[in-house]
Amino acid sequence: MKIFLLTVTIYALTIFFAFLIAAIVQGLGVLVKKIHLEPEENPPDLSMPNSDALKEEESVAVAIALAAAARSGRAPRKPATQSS
Amino acid sequence: MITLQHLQDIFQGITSLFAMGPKLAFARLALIVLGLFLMYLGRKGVLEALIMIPMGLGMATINAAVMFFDPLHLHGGLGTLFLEAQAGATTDAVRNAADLMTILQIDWLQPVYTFMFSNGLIACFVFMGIGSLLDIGFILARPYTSITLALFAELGSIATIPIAMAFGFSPQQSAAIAIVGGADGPMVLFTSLQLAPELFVPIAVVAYLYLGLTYGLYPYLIRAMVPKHLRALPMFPPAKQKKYTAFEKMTIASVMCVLLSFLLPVAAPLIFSLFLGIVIRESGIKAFQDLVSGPVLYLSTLFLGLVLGVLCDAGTLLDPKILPLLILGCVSLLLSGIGGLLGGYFMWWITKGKVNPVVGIAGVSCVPTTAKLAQKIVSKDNPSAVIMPAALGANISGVITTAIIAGVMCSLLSKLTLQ
Repeated sequence: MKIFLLTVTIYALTIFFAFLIAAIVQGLGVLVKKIHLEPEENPPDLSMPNSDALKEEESVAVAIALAAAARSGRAPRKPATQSS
Repeated sequence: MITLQHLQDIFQGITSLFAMGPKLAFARLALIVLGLFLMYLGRKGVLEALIMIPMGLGMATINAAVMFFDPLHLHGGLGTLFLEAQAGATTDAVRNAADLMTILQIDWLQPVYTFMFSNGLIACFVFMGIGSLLDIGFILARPYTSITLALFAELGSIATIPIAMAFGFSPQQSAAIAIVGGADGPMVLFTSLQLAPELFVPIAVVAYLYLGLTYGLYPYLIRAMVPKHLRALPMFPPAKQKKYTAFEKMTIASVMCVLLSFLLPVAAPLIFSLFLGIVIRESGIKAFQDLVSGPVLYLSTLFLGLVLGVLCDAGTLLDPKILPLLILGCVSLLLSGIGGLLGGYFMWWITKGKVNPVVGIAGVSCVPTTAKLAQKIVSKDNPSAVIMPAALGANISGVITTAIIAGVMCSLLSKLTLQ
């Protein structure tokens, strides 16, 4: 009898948790559609640095160059431009 | 001058056959043949090749490579240079540490066994890889149908508990054996480590032997239980099927991971690994996707198969505990298959013929083997019938219900004693 009760308890708890998860899955499915989580166009590519990160790197590089120039008393070198 | 003793020292694999009893010697030879046969069946596609090829080779080699070597004095002077599963398993902590240090420096697969296999890490890695292959869009399309099918397919995991207890196993051991019916290898490793570490090796070996066999035997079960006209039944996607973006799927998977871990902390490592794989798949980080779905998954599967094969030495498989485990593992998987198909019939009846009953077998969570198998059987009878999306939904739900059942078993049984 105890064995039977134990088995039934395990299955009953599994059914309860499983349907709870199914309800949560369905609820989340509805919720994510309602709150418009993500604008559909242009999802970011996380494996490459984005344009903001590139700009940030550029500004840090300029700041370092300016600081180095100020220390040595020389004007910072102008960035090279492509000649035709 | 070369004496007989020299020849014995050179050809230890052969001479060790005569140093052990005839029963063990014949078992060794039989296991060498069985290992090679499993490889052949894996290569032919009858059994799961990813597990069976490394496992078969491991099984054949470990039984060939026996020599007069037993540094821990556990096997009457005979051993191999592969791994020692019993190292560090005594009650003496100091001796355990010393034994492990010794054997880690000798046996080449011991680091993999000690640091990845016997602590469940390899199961988590496999789950991470499986997660990275799963699209939760399939379960989002039909959450209740998928979960219902998966719950029916847990029949073996439940019904085998009293049967195993009738065989004289404790409730914890019975639960660890019964979870074989969940057909989820990593979950079996995890549960047996939690509930019955003393049976971990035989349960792991039996579970993976049978998981390979499901691929070969379930088609006969399906044909026996489902008539041809029902096997050929086409299935159509739900009328109002929503499309989810990767970001939405990632959000849902993250919330599910947290909630499931909240409900079942005992199974949290496996739940986390599975959902980490799903989140990585949907995150858009290609480098992680490639890493987890490629090297992590396949390296873990290779070593899993190899370690399981190496654990199949004659001494382990002739252990008197193994025979009931072989019977119970078979009963559990058979009951789960029957339960899954009954679930398929239940959903066919509830939906008035819109669900193909064969899809029920995919509730047995051998991802994605049973889903592929269901589609293959249906395609033979009706080449235009597509049941794969529904089968994958049931398959993924099967993983979730097996995680739930493992969590419930571990939480309920870890301290339970039945008078």
